Amino acid sequence: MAFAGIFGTILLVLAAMVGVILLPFALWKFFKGVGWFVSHIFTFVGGMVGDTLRLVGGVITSIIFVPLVVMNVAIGRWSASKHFWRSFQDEIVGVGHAVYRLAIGHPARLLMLTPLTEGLERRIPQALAQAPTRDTPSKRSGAFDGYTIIGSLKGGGSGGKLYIAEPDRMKQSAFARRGHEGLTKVVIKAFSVQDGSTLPQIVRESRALEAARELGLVLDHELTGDRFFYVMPYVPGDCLSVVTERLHARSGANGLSGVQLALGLGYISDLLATLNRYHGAGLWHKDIKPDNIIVGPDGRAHLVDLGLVTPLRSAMTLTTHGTEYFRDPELVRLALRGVKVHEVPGVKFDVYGAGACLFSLIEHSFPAHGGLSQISRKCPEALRWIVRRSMADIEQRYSSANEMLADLEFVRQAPDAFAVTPAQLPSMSGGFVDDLPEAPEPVSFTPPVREAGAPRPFAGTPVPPAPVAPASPRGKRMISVTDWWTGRYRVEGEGAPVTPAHAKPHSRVVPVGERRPAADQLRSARERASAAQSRARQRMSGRHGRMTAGYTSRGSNKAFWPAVMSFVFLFIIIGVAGLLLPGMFVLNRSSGYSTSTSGPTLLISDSTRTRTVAMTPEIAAWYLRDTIDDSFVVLDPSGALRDGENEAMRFVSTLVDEGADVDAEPDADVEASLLAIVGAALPGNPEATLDLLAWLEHTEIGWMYEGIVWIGGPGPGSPDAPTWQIIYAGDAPEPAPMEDVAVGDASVDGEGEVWFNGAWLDSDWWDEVGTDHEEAIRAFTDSIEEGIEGLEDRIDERIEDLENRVRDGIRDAGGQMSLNGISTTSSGASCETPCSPACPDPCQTPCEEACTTSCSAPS
Amino acid sequence: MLNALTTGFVNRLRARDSAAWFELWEVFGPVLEAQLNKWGKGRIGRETVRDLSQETLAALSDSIDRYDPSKGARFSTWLLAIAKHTLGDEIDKRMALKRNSGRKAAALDEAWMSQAGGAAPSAEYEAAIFRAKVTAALKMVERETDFADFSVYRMRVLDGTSGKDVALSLGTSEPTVSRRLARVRQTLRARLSEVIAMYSFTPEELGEAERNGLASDPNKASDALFDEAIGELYHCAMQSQRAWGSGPTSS
Repeated sequence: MAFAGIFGTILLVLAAMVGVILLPFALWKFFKGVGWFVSHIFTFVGGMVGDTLRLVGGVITSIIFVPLVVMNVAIGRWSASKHFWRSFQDEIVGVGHAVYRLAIGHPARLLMLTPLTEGLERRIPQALAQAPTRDTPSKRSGAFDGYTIIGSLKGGGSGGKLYIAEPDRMKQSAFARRGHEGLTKVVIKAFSVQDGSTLPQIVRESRALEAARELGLVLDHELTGDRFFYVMPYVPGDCLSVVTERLHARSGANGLSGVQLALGLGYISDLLATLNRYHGAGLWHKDIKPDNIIVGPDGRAHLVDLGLVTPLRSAMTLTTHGTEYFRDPELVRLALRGVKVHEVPGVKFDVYGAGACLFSLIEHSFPAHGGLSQISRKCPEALRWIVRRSMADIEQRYSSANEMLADLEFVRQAPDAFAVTPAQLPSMSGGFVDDLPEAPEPVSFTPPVREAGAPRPFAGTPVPPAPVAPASPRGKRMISVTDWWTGRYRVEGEGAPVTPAHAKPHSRVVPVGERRPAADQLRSARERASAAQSRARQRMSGRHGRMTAGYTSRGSNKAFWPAVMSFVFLFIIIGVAGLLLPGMFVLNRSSGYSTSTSGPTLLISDSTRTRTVAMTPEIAAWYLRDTIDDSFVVLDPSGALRDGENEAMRFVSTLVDEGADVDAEPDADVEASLLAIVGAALPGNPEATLDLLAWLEHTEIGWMYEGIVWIGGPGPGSPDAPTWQIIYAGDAPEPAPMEDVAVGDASVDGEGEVWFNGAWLDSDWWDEVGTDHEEAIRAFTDSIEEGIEGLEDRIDERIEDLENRVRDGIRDAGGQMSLNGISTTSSGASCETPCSPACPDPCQTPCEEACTTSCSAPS
Repeated sequence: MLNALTTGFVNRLRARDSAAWFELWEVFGPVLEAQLNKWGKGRIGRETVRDLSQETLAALSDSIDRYDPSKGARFSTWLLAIAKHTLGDEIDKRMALKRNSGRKAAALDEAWMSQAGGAAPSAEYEAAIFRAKVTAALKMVERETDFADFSVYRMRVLDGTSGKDVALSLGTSEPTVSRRLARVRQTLRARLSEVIAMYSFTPEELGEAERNGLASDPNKASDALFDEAIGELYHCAMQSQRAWGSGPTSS
């Protein structure tokens, strides 16, 4: 009994102790629960009160909006009435929400029945938001002539509406004429300001329209005051994400293999082939993702959605538009830095997108970590390599879709894709080198400022390349480049600058006012004349083929004297030509004058040629003030100018004050349209010049201008000054003949005399052919060529004659003539005094004294 | 006392440097999304979380100007506070706009904000933040090193392929594989130190690398441990991303 009592007491004490220890926790939990309950009740009460007040307020506000709508309708202010009507509708919706919360939402939450209401509160609104738009365009936006709308598609993120339509017979015929036969269904993407689209959306979509049309991606388009739409071929089918799901369902949880893998790789191959076409046409898609790839009934993958298609050469600022995880983060970094589209490799960004699509196909997921994303499913090693290489750092990525396609096709067509190793891929060219040489220390020309986490400068930005220097045992060497155009550099602490072996020397042409000594000029003129003569000979070789053949077949011994004679005659011609025609040898007839001057240059372009003149303020002023009306100025789209930019524009403004008809503050829209055509390609780019000529001559805006003045960044001839190009819609005028103007190597002094490289050309002859410099030189060249032609005929005859005489002489003497002119008799005796090379007539018989004593100077 | 790297980065954020915010989002965005989803207990839709973009981060709340990171708070805590204020503010604004009823939220349910208001960063969150730093360092190394070198490192360490198989696969020898591996490891050690230094406010955070087996002191013995730790952290990071599964958004 006592024992039981003691035991019971101990238990009680223990229980009391446990109770004391646990009591605080229990109390805390209890009070926490009470607190939660109280807050729950208060939340309910607060919600009910709030929504009641909101309901009342919404009803009152709606009542106020009604007369506003009616009044605006009555006075004809339709836009205002629509605005107030929309506000009234929003209030009604708010009232409806409040009623729902009062009746169902708050009571359900009070009773902890939230999962019951989730469908009403979340899933239904999401489904409504994602539903396709109406199957027909609204009355506000109107129907599409020539098309019957039969359905709609879910709109993308670009703000346009997508309809499926059937083209009428006329449209189908028009499509067939352009190579799209059998098109019974098309997709119309429409933007209407009245339907809520914005001008930036319309501008963005229309930007790449022309190029897309040439690629056959766009069949038709229309732009009116308030609507824009374009028509594309309709590709029925499922998007790649749906197809991928199907493929993985058939393959199992481990990953794709066999037929499913081959099918999937085929779709990516189709994608890469399409991208190749885009890039070849100068476009990049910019939104490669599985949802934009449709697998059609033909089993091929088709790339759709042109919303972000951009010309590779566009001068617009790069934007971050795209789809996360399928868009290279480097693109976002560059866009945030404000770079232009043409400064980035759009091709490689599309390759990244293709790699991300390949990843999503293999892994059935999206690459959340970019190139670092893990492929956990069964996958051939070579395919992993391809995915990683396509999503690698931009400088190490495949350089084109074609390169990636080659690797992918290799894997796809292998008998066993899982047996292919990365080393076997075409891009690997046999694999790694086993013994890696120690990589040379990189030589940088500026000390790197390392900021952790800062993006590396992209190689596409205009950063001059560092010249490669041999590795030094002392480690890194700091060099500074002293001449970017030749690569000449100085190594710090080592004295004299070094010119790399590959550097080409400047070709300097003597500027006006600095003439070289006559002997130098004559020597260079002779060299140029010799080159021109070679070209002339080649042209005539068809008519005088036996000329060269005759020389070689007869042997050098017998051809010595004829060669001597030819050289003498040619020397005369070369001397004359060298004195008179140095400029001819630098003419390029297909493009007019094409010389470089050592100073700043002004390019003058018209529909037939581009020529270069030395850029001086007087020259530029003459062109801008005296020869051109209504010109449009474009100033340095590349942004390479600094002080030069202000200087150039100040000069233009000064000319405007002096009467030049130049728009010193050009229209931004016109400039934007020009930049969209040619980017920052001028000055000097022939293709861009032709594009701008076409703009001047064939567009309504271009007709307003007689020319374009393009002031660009520093160029080869003017590293520290702007470069200028003036493009004329008609014929460009000649430089002012009565001023000191340099035209190629010729110059005209103030008295109208023409000088070629220091030599004065007879002004009478010049007057005879007129003041068209090129025409004059052409005429002179023709006359020289005729002279050469006649001379060569005479040389031929002379050679033939001499050979006959030599042959006869030898036959008579019974001996031979030696190579060096030392005659031999038939008995072998040698002539002590050889015939002089200057003697025009070869010895008739060996060792005749008459040969040496009667030798006279060449005539 | 904050180090120069950290100070510079915070100053860039305060200066509304879009690139700095993008960098922050790129490194820590997935972790923050996962945390937000956890706070929301499923009541915040993924679309709502995904709607937040770099523009949201760039539109800073006042909190970043008032917040003084030198007062001893960890980087991860500071990040969470910034994210909560900025993201929460943006969510409220968007929800209010949807209802067209003014800025003050009259949400169907605001409980998630109050519940999350007092929540401190959990151990799981801290681990996710550290993994994000390691992943950021790996991405930097991937960008900097030769593609072939990094491929060797990825296959050997991240994919767990044997040295012999790597050599066979790439058509090279095992010694070459080892050399390339060492080169990448050296670069990774340096970048890891930089990343951890930049995103750490306290000495405790600076010591995280050592505590996780990522000693910066290179020697043969620690190389194997270093590689093993990197591999494990990488796999955990990938698994977390798969679990959260936030999908792509168009902009």
